[in-house]
Amino acid sequence: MLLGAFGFISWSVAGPINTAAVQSEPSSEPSLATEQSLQSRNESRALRSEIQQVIAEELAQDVLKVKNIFDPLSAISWLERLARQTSLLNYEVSFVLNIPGKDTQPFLWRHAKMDDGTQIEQLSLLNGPGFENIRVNDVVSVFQPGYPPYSMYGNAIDGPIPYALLHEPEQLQMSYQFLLVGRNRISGRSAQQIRITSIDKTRYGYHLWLDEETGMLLKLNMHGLDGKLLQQIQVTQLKVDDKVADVFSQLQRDNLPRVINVVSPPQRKHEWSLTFLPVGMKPVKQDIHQLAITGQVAEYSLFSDGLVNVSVYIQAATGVFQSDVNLSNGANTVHSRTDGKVQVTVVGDIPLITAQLMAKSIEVTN
Amino acid sequence: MTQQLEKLSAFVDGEHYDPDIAKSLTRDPELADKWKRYHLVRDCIRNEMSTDIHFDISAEIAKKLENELPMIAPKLAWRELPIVANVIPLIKQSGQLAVAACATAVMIFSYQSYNQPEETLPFLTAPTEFGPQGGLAPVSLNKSQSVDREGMAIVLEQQRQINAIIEDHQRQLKLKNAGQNRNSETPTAEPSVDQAQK
Repeated sequence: MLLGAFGFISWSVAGPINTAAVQSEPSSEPSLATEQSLQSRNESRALRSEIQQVIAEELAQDVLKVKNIFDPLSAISWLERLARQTSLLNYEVSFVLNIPGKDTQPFLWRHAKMDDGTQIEQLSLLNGPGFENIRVNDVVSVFQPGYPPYSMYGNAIDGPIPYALLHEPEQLQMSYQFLLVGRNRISGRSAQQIRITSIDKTRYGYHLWLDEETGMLLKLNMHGLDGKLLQQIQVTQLKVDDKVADVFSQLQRDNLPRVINVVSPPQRKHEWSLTFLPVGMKPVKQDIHQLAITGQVAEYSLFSDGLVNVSVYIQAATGVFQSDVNLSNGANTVHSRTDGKVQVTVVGDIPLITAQLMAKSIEVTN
Repeated sequence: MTQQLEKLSAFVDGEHYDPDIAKSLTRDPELADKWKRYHLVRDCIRNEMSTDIHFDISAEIAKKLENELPMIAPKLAWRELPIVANVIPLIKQSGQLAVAACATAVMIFSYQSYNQPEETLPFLTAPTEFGPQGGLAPVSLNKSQSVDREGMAIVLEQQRQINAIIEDHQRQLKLKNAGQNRNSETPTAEPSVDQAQK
């Protein structure tokens, strides 16, 4: 209790200074000056913060040959900083995934750059038998109950935090707009809140909170069109520390499962297209394949805007479905409709209304 | 016997004092068993059950009593004269009486509500909406007796097909990142889609 109160006081004291510093600087100035002027006034945090800043700066310039042009008044700049920091820093993050009406799931997420330059990332689900993902550079090994472990090529672990948010935020600008909402206190740290909404209001919106000091993600909320909370990621502990690399030093890389080659079916052009697609959504995959459970053959398209993925299946109608299927469970939506000959099914993390519009807009092309 | 039980119940509730019933309690093991049960039930309902229940301690007590020195009955006070003794507990326990009556009411009520016949709903042959995704409730055998088998088969088939699609969607997402990387070594995914469209 006392600790909490102390933390709050120190935060609220630091608060006005921070804001003043940010506001007094013109937005076009490089952030280093801002950060430094801020640090000189705040002695208690200065040393740690400065070291981290220098390290980040050096790495950014040496490794990426990109100058750190962080602008605290631009939302996209915050997201770019997030992407930069998640791939540069050594960190250990505990977070929980909460979907209203379901069990909360705790995760552990570690990332480190080893001395020899290899990047190692780990994501584990901590409840039940859980699952374990380990990425060494561009090989992702997956350990999950019920399946033999395997490795495959991939530059990211498939986790609850959307890939594009952590790696390609600039891609999201095609379909979403970003807005700085204000500052807040999350997980005991001062954080910058950012709102993400889709340009054409066809997709769910997000609120995210980024740590001011390290730029790391602290909280991510997904909201429905009516503002209802659909999914929440809340960081409970954030440790940015080079000692994380020690944990991975015991990892026996030779013992990881062998890389399997994923043979994807050849890409093809379908004889139909969707005339309605949410702004910024692009086809990622188009093929014909069999569904594993029923063995039915379906013409398949995968669309993505970076944050959400939508699958469209076209099958010959089996006569099983007489009417439309509308299924919504939290963020997931399944919509299926038929005209008696063809069955169209749209699956993805989109509002039902968008799925219906997409399914309706199918037209045969020549 | 029923009359006996009624008397016993009244006796347990302190409603009725009858020296006969006390005598027959000591002789009739069945009645003694009932007496014990009544007390147990009362404790249960009043939520006064202790955590450790020793079901049969009468034998032990009997053994102890054998070793006990015989007690000399004290002289009867006026309170213990039969008529007065009958009235006093009645006044004393009128509060408990109400509680016991309540408990009986609860028992009757709960018995009725627990033992209502199960409602049988007519089964919908083709519901337009399914349960939550992935959480398909197992169909209980008891209910399926009254179910149109053909409609059942259609619903199951619908669920199977929808599940197949959801499962495939998840699988495609898992492969998406892998595909991206493979294609960054070889031709990329998006151009290949574009090429196919040309």
